[in-house]
Amino acid sequence: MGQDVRRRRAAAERLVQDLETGAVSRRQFIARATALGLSVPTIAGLLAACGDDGGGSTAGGSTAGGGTAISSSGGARGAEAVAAKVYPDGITSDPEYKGPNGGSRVAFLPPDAYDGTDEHGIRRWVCYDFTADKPYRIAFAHFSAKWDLSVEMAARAERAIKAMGCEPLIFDNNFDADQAIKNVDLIVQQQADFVVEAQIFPDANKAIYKRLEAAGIPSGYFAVEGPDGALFEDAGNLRMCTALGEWLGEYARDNWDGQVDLVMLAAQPRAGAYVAEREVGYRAGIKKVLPDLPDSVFVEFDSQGLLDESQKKAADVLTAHPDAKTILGCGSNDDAAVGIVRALEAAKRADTAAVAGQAGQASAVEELKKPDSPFKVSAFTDIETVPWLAAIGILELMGGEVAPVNFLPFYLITSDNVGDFPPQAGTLA
Amino acid sequence: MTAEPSTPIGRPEPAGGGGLALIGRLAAAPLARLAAAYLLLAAVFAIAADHFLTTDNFLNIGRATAVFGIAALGLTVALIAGALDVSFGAVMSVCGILAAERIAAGDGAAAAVAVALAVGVGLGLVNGLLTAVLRLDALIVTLGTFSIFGGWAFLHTNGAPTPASDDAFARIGRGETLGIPTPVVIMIAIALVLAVVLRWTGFGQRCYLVGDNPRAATLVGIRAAWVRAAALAISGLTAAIAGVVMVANAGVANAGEGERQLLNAIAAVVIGGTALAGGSGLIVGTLLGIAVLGTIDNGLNLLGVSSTWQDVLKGVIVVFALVLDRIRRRDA
Amino acid sequence: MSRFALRAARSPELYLLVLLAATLVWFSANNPFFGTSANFTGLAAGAAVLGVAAMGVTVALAAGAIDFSIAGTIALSGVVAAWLDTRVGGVVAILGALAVAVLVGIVNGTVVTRFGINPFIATLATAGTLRGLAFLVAGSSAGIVIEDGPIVTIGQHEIVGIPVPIVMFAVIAVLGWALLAHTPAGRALLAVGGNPEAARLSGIGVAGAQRWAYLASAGAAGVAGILLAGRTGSGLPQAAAGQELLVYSAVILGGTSLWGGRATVIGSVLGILFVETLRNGLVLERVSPYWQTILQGVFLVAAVWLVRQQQLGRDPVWLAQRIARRRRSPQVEAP
Repeated sequence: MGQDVRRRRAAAERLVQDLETGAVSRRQFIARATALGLSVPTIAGLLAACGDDGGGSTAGGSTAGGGTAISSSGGARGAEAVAAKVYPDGITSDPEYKGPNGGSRVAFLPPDAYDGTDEHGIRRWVCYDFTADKPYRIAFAHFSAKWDLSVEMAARAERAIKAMGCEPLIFDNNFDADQAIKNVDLIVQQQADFVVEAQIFPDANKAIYKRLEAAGIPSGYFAVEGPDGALFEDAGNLRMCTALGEWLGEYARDNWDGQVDLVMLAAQPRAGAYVAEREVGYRAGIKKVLPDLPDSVFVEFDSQGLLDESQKKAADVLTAHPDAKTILGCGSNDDAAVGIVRALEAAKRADTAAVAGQAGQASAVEELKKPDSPFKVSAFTDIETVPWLAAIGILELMGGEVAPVNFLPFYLITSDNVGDFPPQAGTLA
Repeated sequence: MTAEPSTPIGRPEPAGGGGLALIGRLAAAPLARLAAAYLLLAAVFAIAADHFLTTDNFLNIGRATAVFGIAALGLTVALIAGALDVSFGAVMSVCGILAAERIAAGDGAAAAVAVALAVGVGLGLVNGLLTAVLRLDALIVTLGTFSIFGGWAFLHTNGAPTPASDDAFARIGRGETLGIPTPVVIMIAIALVLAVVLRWTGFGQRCYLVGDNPRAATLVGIRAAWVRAAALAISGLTAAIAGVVMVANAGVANAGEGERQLLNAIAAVVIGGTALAGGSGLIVGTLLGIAVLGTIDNGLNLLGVSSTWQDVLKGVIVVFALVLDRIRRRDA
Repeated sequence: MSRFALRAARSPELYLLVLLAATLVWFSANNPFFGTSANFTGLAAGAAVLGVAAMGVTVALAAGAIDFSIAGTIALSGVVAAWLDTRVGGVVAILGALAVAVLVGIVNGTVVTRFGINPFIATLATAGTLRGLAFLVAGSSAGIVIEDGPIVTIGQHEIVGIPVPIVMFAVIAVLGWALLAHTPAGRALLAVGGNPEAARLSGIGVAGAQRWAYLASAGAAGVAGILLAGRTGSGLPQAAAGQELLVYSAVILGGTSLWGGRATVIGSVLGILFVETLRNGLVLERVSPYWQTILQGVFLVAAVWLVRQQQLGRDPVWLAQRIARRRRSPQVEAP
């Protein structure tokens, strides 16, 4: 027994030396240290002592916890330092944006967390490449089994949770607040240790949080925020669509001398404040590049995030603006963007148009493969990063301290690099 | 077939399954008023909205309504025969996915369409067979198969999208024929064929008779169950065509997409004057119903009305149009 | 066999009860989390929202009054309750939401009976309008948060250890059952739904009865909306979208006819409980949600078919007699 402890201590000391000299990367260090049974606070403390990038304890907490180790959390300094790395395609985001909680403690998933590719062609993330100290039950309640990306999220989460040595419990919230609450009852029933909630009603998240809190189960919220202070993870609608807006603005500047007659915003006003950030982002990004563009060229309509709805409304917007030649289209998601594309094609006005979407839906992948499509750019969030929130939850269960707001990276995808990007929906699910 | 009295409330439908002339006279009279109501609606939009009265705009309305319109046409035949088919939305999804899978497998557009249409007819026959064998109302059977077919589409794809990129296939949904969007051409062609079938064939006549009074039809030697099964097969066929057009337009097939068309298609048929109880109705009426729904959406869009107010107004306009229809009919 | 037992054996609700019991036993035996009192309580509380709405639908269908606007009414009632709650207070909010629901019932009843518009298309149209109004009340947000107060109490708290939604569901079910089975008003509704012409000849006002029917379905939907708002702690304009199909499926599953004249509150309660139990058990068993959809369709058709067999006189009593006859004279076996 004592011998075992001595051997482990020796191994740990060697590992720390390797880290100091740079013989092992931070990523490998975490993996090996957890295998040696070091606690997360210890690992995090060692990393903070040896590491030079990002980490450190600032406004957020006295000790740099697991969140620091895994997510490079910390104050604004840390966030900015990592934010610059998040955009591999050289696209800049809005560095002022600190997330819905005001940015006191925002963490960005480090882009160097990839650890090769698996047999499905999915990039593996080191974010869950550690083993939990106990086989926790991690519930993942996803948006709806009727939404392809959500099904894929659930499949990836299930795999990631298993990889971390925990037991996954997957629930279908069916885009229904009441269903989500029924699922919470079942989650409590099955005595889950941590819950990742992904459902579209921000107000209902508060009731869900209350129920889970009463049962003593910690929870984290994906895409739509929970109550103040609750764990939250998203790509960030505002920073993502600001980047897309800038891309469109630059396209108009480079190809049309900055002349834009019409900007079509396929919005989802009924989806609430979070999705509304997308339209705000598009507008801000475009105006950042083309500050003289009058507000009157922006036309917003309710696409409901659906291809056919967006197509119908966009066709009518085009009818109402017969003289518009240079046209930008902004989809609240890829389906809505492809709807704009279909309307432009039908009206034979696609030649002087550029459309952007986001999410990485199949419709966008098909459209981006065509070199002459007006669909120019989309922001993909690698679905493999979604389970990061489950990893954060497990780290917290293991005693680590994590940042409440966690941002995922996104990638601007054009016809040039669409082939390089791993497939999204339908890979594991 | 069923023992339940299926008279819709407060609406005395023309009784007696007389000849086609009678049916035509009774059904055509309210249609004239519906057409007038439509013209009134169009006139309001023409005055209020710029660019409403343009050829391109009417082509837009056609394009926007073609998918649910095609399904509504077959639904009209089934409803006339007394079979309210609510499963067609799920049939659209299933057939669209199967077509997309053929495209993805590289079999080409013709094979994809053939598979989709065959399966559509097959699923329609399954509805008909279940209705006949279990001796149940078609609405109940199709409410069940709506879940079964729709659930199967999700189970089969596991909710994942199926891309369908093939130029020939895409032209079905996005191309133009003689300067008119192909989906609109398909809708009009189907309308013509079904109108002829209902008006001039023995089968069409039997549909009206079976829908109006199944017992009387059985007494004169008509196999009511088989007429209904055939009508449901037609509904399955048009649902399949609608599914193909939908997927060809989108370029991707998703489970659950067709189901969203359910209410629009049924609304078009019923606004067009086809009785939910069966036995009366015309294809022209359904076309008018499609036009009414499409024009309301289009006009409100052109006026820049927000989607929330559109929801509020659309219901009010439909009720108002139908109330107007009733009041005028009462005066007459 | 006693007369009561004979009647029970011939009642269509018995099938559903047996089916429900079998489902409960099967899941209890197979899943350690299923057969606990906490799970049953949660299940019943979860069933209460659509259950209350189903009670209204059952009473309305007795008179043949198809109301497709219940989901819109649930949403509008919930949003109005939340809106008033933040401004005036919980009790007024509940009364206000109920008043709005009553108004919806009056409008539906008037449109259908006074103007004679097809009820299906009329309530489909009002459903869209109600949903739009719910979004208008909610404003630009996706919902209105409800702070702790009477509405949250109704949705989330307990009376003597029983969640309030269950108590409300039970009370409304008993009221609905008493109304249909034991009052002249209930008999009038069933008469109007069964044969409007005969009802008219026997002096029952058809239009009046149907107006009450629409009031019942809208009122129940209003209560369901308040319950839902309490459960979710917010008024959501998207609430219950598409749930009308589920409610109607459960009601038909229970043995109520879509065409009027035959309605069973007990059947509807069992129908809703069966649908919810199946969902609960399948989720705990980690069965794909897609199978749930498929099974719902299969059970719907099967249940209606069984009820139909009963109407034709082919009930368990008939079956038992047939088997007994066969045993007695095996030589004259029917083909």
